[in-house]
Amino acid sequence: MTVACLLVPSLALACELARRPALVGQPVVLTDAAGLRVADATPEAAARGVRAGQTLREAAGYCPTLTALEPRPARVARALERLAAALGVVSPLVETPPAASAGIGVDALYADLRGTEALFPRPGALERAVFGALTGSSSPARSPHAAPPRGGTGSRGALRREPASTPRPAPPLVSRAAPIASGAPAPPLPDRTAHSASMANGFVPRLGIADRRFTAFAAARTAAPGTARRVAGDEATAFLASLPAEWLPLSDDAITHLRLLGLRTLGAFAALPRHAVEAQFGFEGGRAWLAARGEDPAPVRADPVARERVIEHAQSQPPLVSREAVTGVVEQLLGRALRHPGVRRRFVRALRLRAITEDDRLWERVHTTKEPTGDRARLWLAIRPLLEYADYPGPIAELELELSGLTTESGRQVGLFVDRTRRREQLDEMVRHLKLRYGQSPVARVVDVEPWSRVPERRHALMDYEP
Amino acid sequence: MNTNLRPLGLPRPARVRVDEYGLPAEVAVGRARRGAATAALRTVVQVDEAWRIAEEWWRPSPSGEGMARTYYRVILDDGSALTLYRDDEDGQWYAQSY
Repeated sequence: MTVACLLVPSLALACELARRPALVGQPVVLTDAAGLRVADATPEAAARGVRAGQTLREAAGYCPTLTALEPRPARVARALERLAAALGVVSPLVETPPAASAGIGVDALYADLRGTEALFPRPGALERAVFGALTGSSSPARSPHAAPPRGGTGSRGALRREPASTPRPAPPLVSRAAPIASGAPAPPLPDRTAHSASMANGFVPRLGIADRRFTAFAAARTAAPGTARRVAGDEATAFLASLPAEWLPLSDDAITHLRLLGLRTLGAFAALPRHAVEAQFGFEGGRAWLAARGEDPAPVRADPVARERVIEHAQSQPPLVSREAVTGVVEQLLGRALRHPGVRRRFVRALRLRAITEDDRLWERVHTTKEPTGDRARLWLAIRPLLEYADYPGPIAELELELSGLTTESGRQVGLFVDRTRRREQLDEMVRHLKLRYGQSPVARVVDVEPWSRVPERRHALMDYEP
Repeated sequence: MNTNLRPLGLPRPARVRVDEYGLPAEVAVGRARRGAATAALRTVVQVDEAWRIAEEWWRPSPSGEGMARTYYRVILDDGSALTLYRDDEDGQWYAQSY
């Protein structure tokens, strides 16, 4: 088993339903960021004809009792971080869905398990480790590489509520099974491993483990919420055969095409000759054909391992409504972050600012410095414009500053030629300005005319500097 | 494009009083101080070096004459060094950094 897949169908919607348990089992949709169209829908809403992409007016026409919820990207980001941290317990190579699409549809997280077999030799140990990390309980088989990669140096503190440089307690993500899973209900298979997770108020991810990426995804999708499912390599083809063809990693158009061709199951799709599939669906169709046979060639594209980073965090109650107040708090956060022992006498390459509103809307900016610097003034020069031109989605309840890409340098070696080139560019720009202002170049350069001459005035001359 | 070259190190006219051997004994270079008609003469305490250049005699000067100069490196009474030359064509004195 080389791939683990952690799946929470409709994560963004699940995050909202976890906070509104009364809506569980009701027709509910999640709108897009503009609040105009349906981004995701519960199975109850889908059963009434509501689809992603419809306008809210159109969706209400299909289902008059529909409840529309606005997305809260901050909650989704936190949930994804927790899910990634849980998978990070069993492998340092974790792939998370891209931020833009995160939480919509059936995005999944994958972990590359190659080489970790010896760490979890007992049956069910890996599953217990993942679910244990999600519920916050100590894992009996905790991997030695688990903790640092995703948390980083993690100096988290708060200006008002939490002491500085202490880990922010993360509430248990997983709590209770919520009937919001889309797709086919999990069949009662004998090899399903159930893990009771003491959950209260929340949603429950499913875990799939297999030899191939798509097989692990299908295993997770067929597992009941809060459970794990393993599919052995020699069972993959039989396991996949009865599953719906629309799960294939193909575009919406291709899925519609499959439906029109009458191909309902993965088994029917896999039974076609590969060349016929590629003739209809191209290269992607060929890969999907392999996936349907349990031979998915797609690897786990692990995120870059998060190296050291320092995070400073502040909460505000009441939320900050003035830009000046936000700027002041971020300036304090920068000062605290730079005083952190992990940053002292080191340079910073990247910084990330995150502001979360009181209703969990997210504002985030990432800035990569032109060159590593540990100078507070220069870093503030980079941060300040971000804050001055920020369009916050509401009153700010939380602010977070992350310094990353920490170098091992304590000084900077000035480049012999690079700086000269830069200086030349600056000079050219300055001369252009002066020429525009005074009508002629006020700068000249000394040129050799006859440097060997015994007559001094013939050796060198001044020439107008033309950038 | 006009290169517009402006020579550097052009000679400046100097007022020089010579001794009986024709060597500079007193020198006045630059502008006169306020209230004075000419720059004050300063005593030459030592002539360090003297040399003559008459190069490119085959190339006439713009005035149609050749170029011949006799240079003197002198030490003034305040310890400063100065390079002077006498234009052998017209007998005028100039100061020039060499």
